[in-house]
Amino acid sequence: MGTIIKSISFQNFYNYYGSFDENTYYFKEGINIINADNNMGKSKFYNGILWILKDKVYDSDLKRMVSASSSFQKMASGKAINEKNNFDMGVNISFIENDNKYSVTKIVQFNKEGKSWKTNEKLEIMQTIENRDIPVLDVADKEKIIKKIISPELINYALLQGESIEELVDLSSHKGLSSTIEVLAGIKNLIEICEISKDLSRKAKKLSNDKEREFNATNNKVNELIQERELLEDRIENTLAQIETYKTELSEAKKKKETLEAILLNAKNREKFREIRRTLENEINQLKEKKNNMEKNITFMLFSENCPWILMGLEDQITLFDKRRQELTADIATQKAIDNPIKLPEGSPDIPSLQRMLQTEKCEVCGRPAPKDSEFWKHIKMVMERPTSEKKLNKNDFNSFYSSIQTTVGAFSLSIPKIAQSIKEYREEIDKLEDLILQKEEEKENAKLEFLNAGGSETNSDITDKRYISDYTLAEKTIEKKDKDIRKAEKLIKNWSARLRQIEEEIKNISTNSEIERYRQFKKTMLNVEHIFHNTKERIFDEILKSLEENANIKYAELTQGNLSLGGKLNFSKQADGTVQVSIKNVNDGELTGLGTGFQRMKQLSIIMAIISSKIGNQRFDYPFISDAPFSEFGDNFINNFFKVAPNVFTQSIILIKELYDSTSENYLNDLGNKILKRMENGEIPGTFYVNYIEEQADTTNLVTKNKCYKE
Amino acid sequence: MTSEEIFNEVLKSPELQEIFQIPKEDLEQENFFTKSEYRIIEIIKTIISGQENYKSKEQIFQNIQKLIMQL
Repeated sequence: MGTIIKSISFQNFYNYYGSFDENTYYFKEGINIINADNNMGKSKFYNGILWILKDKVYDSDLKRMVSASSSFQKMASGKAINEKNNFDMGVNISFIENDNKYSVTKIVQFNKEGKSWKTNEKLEIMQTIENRDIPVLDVADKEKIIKKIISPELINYALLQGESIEELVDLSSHKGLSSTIEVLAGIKNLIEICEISKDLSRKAKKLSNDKEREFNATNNKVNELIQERELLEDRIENTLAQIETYKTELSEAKKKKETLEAILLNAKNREKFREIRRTLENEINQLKEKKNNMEKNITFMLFSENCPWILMGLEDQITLFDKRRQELTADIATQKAIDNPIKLPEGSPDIPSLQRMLQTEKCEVCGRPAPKDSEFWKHIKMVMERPTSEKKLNKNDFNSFYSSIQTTVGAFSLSIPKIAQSIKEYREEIDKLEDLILQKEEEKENAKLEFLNAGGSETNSDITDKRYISDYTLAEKTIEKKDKDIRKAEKLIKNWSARLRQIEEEIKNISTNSEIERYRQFKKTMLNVEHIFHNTKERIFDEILKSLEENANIKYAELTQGNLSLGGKLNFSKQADGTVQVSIKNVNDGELTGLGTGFQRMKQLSIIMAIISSKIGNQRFDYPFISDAPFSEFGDNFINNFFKVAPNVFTQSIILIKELYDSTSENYLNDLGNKILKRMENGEIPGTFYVNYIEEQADTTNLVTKNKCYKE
Repeated sequence: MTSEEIFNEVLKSPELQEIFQIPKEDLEQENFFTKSEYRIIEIIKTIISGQENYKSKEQIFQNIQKLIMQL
């Protein structure tokens, strides 16, 4: 049995305010879940483990790992700092390793001196032997015990921070992979043997050369040949070293290219959708302007000269108007006759005749007498004083006015019936523009989504994408150049090696001493031994790689099971310099690109699981797997699959997540959380289940995290 | 890997059959703890046990040299 963490406790550590007893999480084999919302202590919990194992913490302000000692003040509980003048901050991990029980505690004593704090760090380790706790005092022993929690070679695979998962599984790194395989296969000693045999071979070569020189001290020809051989051997050795450098540079360029390939696809997509958005934005603006102008034009159309919309529906009114005008003209004529009883023609009788009639008091028209001031006399007077020809000018005013209206309106009699159609068409055109704008807005929104899916953001500029493209081009050029350099160097070595063989033959033919021949054989044998060990190591390496590939694909299939989109097949390929590149192949064995972040992380997680679950010889990973936010970017299906697969891979895992959290629910669990808890309670998933919560709202300086244990 | 495991892995090397002409059957009979009649096998064992016993490279070299020069 390997290592099992029994408990982790905190004391005044970030928002874990209070004593160790108040902040203890008990764990067992299986999956141990700590479910917490943002800012409720997940990363702080993870930092506690980092502090114990690596003496480092992740500073979320600086967004990088820092040494714990530089961050003590930040690590201490804000509430403790506010309330106390001296207190202890600490983290304790209790664990069992091969039936031995250990307790590792890191404590920092805080003492306030004036306005500043004085800190003192302590490391306390206890080992329980026969129920007695015995303190471990030796510094080297303490270090060894901490390494028992998780082996340093495998710590990268055992401690997983969700956001950095892509960088974690660095299989393309020679060092990263070799140290993993060394531990998995336990071939550290074989690697050392390879180094020894290489050195022995060099020694045998030197010895043989020295003996040849010694035996042929007087033979100038042989000496010349030996000198030439040594020169060529030096050249070959230097060139081989140079090739190694080229291969490393080539590998780095390939890795860069591979990294950029994924980014490049997105960068190109971002560029594409950025351009589409720009074009659509212009089109929308033009359409809006056109619509706006049409709307503004409605006022003009209402009063347009040829077809004023304001007259819509007045078709009958023209006929009615004409009829009324005629009636009015007739009425006016009739009304005049009524209003003017004088039937005499205009200007008759004339004024002098009428004056004489008034004087003579007799009407000369009818011959009747008209005594002064009588009705007749007054009538004659009225006729004399009747309006003059000035008023005659107004005689046809209304007629003329209405006739003028008639003339103007008459012109519209043909266009008014077309107004309704014109308005309909105009409205349809505006509606069409509106639809088009909506359609373009939708297209723009889709382009924005595509842009965001490709990793774009509102602040993302095209300068970064252009840099990616230029870096990619540079990586391609480097690969081409390094390939050429390697081929050139190999050609040189080939030529020199051919010459070396010639020299060997020539020396052998000249110097035929049997004693020298034994040294030559010795040299040859040792060179073969070197190759045998080297090839054995490479074969084991390849076998492990193959086993890892198979295992990773099993895990990958299990983790991605149930997804509608197929995730492809993981392919591990060994590069010329011994590095390994992991890519995802499609059904036709082509490179599968464009997979979502969820799939990419599943790929990484599968590789981790493969490494962890690989059992080679008697070696296997048997450490706790501790992960902070491994599921960001994962859907429910991925999470469910993980809970199915994980207990078979990790003897113990401690998972800090928020995906099961619901702050509005009474037990702080969402549907998925309740389902998983149920499965744990039923014994389907072994492990424990904790939920972190905050009792009182506070800012980070006073935040206090509490926990509820739902499954012990 | 233990020294014995390494030795068993080395015995799978094709060079032993191709270059040193050791028959497959003989290789199958080889054992890390018993003396071999093949010089190359003994050299391999010397290196493996030298590494296991923290011998210096010089010591291992001398042991091999002695082994070869005696024969």
